Order: sequence, then C-alpha cells, then structure tokens
Amino acid sequence: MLEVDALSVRYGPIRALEGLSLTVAPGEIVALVGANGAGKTTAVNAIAGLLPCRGRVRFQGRDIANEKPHRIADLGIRLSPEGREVFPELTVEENLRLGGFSLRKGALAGELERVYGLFPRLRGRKRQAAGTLSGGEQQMLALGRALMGRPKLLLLDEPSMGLSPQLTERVFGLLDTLRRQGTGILLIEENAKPALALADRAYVLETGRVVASGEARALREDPRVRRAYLGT
Amino acid sequence: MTLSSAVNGFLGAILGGLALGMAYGLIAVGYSLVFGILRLVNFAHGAIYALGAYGVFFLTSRGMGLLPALILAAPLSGLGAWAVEKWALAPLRRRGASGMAQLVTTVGVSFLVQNTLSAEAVFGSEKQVFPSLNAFGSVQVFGVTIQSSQIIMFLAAMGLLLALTWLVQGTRLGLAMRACAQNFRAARLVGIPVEAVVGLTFFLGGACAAIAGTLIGGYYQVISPTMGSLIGLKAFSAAVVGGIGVLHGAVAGGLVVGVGECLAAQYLGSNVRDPMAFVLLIAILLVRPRGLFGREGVEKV
Repeated sequence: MLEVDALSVRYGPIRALEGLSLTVAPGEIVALVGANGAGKTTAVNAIAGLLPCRGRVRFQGRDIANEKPHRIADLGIRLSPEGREVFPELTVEENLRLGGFSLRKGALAGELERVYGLFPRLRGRKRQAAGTLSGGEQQMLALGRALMGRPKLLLLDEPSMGLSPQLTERVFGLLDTLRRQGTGILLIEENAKPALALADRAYVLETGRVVASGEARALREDPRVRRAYLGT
Repeated sequence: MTLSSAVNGFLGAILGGLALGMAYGLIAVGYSLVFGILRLVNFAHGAIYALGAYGVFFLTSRGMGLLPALILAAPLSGLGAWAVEKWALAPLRRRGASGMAQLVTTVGVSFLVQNTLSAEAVFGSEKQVFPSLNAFGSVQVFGVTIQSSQIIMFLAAMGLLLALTWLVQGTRLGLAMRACAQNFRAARLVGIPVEAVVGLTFFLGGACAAIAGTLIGGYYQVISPTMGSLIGLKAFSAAVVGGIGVLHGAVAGGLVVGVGECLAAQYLGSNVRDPMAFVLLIAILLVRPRGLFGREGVEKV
C-alpha cells in the first residue's frame, strides 16, 4: 500500500536521504535499520509530510509526496515520532482525543476504549498531564495516540525507546497483533536484533542510501549486517 | 471631604475600573491567544481594535443601529486580522523567517491601518463622535453612581470572555488550538490543519478587539485613528501582567490595569492615569517575572 520511489531529502547542502525506494504491504512489518544519522528518521518524516522531498511517495495508489501532513494523517498514515512529542500540558485523555481528531464523536469514544484496553496504565492516568508521565508511559501514550482511528499504515520511530524489556516485548507483541489485523508497519529501531526478529522484511540504510534489503530472516544472517548492527 | 464621599469616590473608582478592565481583558486575550500559539506579539492588534470601532462608526453614521453595526463589523474586523496572518505573517513563517521579522511586520501593518483610517479620503485624522453606550442613564448602588455604559461594557466583555473560555477549554476546536500552542509538528501529525487553526485564532482575537473598540468607544463617546496604540499597549501590558498565553491571566491582568488606572486617576490626578498600566506592569513583573498566572518555562517545539 506504500510505495516509495527514489525519495531524496536535503537539509541545505547536506543530502540526508539519497534515492530511497521501499514498499510496505498491508499486514507487513518492514524494518528500517541503520546507525544514527543514516537517514531513518528523515525517511519517515518525509513520508509523513513533515519534510519537503523529491521523488515519489504513493499510498494506496495516490501520490502523497509533499502533501500537507494533516491530509496524509487523514488518509490513514500515522507517525509515532522520535522523541514521542506528546502534548505535555494536555491530559492523557486529551492527547488521545487529539489522536482521533478527525473521528466522529461516536467513533471517538469507541477508539478511546480500545486504546485504554491496549494500554491499561493510560486509563488510570487519563486526567494527568502527559508531561508528568514517566518516559515509558509517554511512549505508550505516543503509540496509543498514533493508534486512534485504526490507521492503515503506522510509521514508528523508535517505539521501544525508554521502555523496559518487558514492555518492549509487549509492544512488539501488539505490533504482531496489528500486523495480523492487516495494518502495514514501517518500523525504525536502533536495536536491530529484536526488530529483525519481528519484521517480515528490512532495509539497511547507510548515510542516506539503502545498502542491503530483503527478508528480515536472511538479513539477520548477512555477515555485513551482523558485523555492523548486531554486534556479532 | 466627608467619610461617605471618600468611600463613594473609592467605590466609584473600583467599579469603573472593573468595567474598563474587563474590556481591556477582551483586548488582552487577543494578544494572549496569538502569543500562545505563535510566540509572537501581534502589534497590529491595537490597529484592528481601531478598525472595528471605525467600522461601527461608519455603519451607524449611515443610520444603522449600534448593535447591528457591531454584529457586522466584528466578524469583518476578525477577517481583517485573519488576512494579516494569511498574507503577511504565514508567508514569512513558510520561508523560515525569524520571529523578529514577523514582529516588525505586525508593527508595519499597525501603521498601515492607522494611516489608512486617518487619510483625508477615508475618515481623517481628527477625532469623531461615537454613539453612546449609555442605554439607560445611570443607576445608584450604595450611593455610587454607575453609568449604564459601564454596566453594559462589563457584562458584554465578561460574557464574551466566558464564551471564549468555553471555546478554548470545552470544544474540539479549542483542543486543537491548545495542541498547536504546544507543538506544531505533533499537531500536524494527528491531522490538525495547523495553518487554519492559526488563522482562526487571529480571527477570534480580531473580532474581540473590534467589540472592545466599540465598547470603549461608546463609553468615552469618541474615537480616533490612533486610539489603538495606547490602549493596545495597555492591553498588552495586561496580558503580560496576567501571564501571557494564559487566558484567565489576560482577564485578571485587564482588571488589575483597569482598576489601577482608575484609582490612580482618583487619588493621584488624571495625568497619572495612562502611565499607571506600565507602572503596574513593572512592579508586578519585578515580584512575579512570569506574571500573575504565568507558567514555568513553557517550551515550544
């Protein structure tokens, strides 16, 4: 459902992303792997419409490159951004309501229930300002906010950041469930090992270019990938 | 001076100050809303205040009643403020201009509007007589004379401020405004059309300023093209005194400035009236650098 072709992004003279091509199908988890500064965050930000870019981005057959971010969000693409970016002075519930900004009133209540069901910790803190939550709770809130309205495509920038190993496992379990329900997921993880274990396919980025891609299982065995990202 | 006349003078200054202060609050929220969302002091706000009063003046001088004229002029002034944002400020932000560039632009727009109003072919630079807001004379409360214009000014401004508070705190649009005030990027990512919300914020502030211009114009029964510069600065001070970016802070600041200047006029002489707002501003900021209701370091991404 997502087809990215020759996507390039520049910050002034710096080429942050150079001709990235990738696809994500419904019900598929695709991992973007690479070191800091390889262009992973740039890629998802450009797809979400936050950065001006060159190249083609098609979603369900529709060209969305350089489209306004709120229109891209309305099409069913949600980014859970790097650094979480929750609204710190708004309550947990207000943050989630904003995630469902485009939903009708009736649908909104149902979605709130669903997300509270996924993250019971958030229900207990729904009247609390988001800025007072722990790092892990804020990460759950950012994820929950992105899940409001059942997006067709999730762009997740480091969703395990700040989470305990147990919580990370639960979040990865949730991603697996979403995959089986047909959601497409583009996953960025600093921690390549579990990401490659979860993903169906993966792309390895180095200084803005794809240097390897394919089945996640095969990439885990690739000696170059092992040396650079898996520490073996 | 007898004791009772001293008490009456004091009460009169307080009540008059509350009425004027509520109208200041109505102007101050415009500064506060825009500052909250863009971290920008909109110096064109005072000019929109004058524009609204002149719109009402024009319509009433053509035979329209005060209220219908206001109902027409307020949204038109709001559109004026929206247009300033849409065509002068938003293009600057898109090109990554500094906050300073936007600030200077609002100063420029302020002079542009003021000079257009005072052009001979438009309204001229001399003062104009404005229809009185004194709808039913005056009433006596505990021996203090209160003009109906003061009552109307107080109630109308308070009603609007309550409505605005409900809008910001209780509606989906208000939630979007508060989200934009904290983080533009995240607001975009959840599907909020940020530019439209910013435009609407200018519209609301402009419409409120126009209504305040009509209330204060009708209270003093005189308007001039430069009427917005001093009152604009006073209302900006009120917004800062209350804690800029905080809605109820703007109202509290307006009341403090209004009551302060009326007490100053009563006891220190009428030439102390206008500087009083700024004396209060300095005094309160020395004690509370963030204003009465200001919050600790609100960072915006």
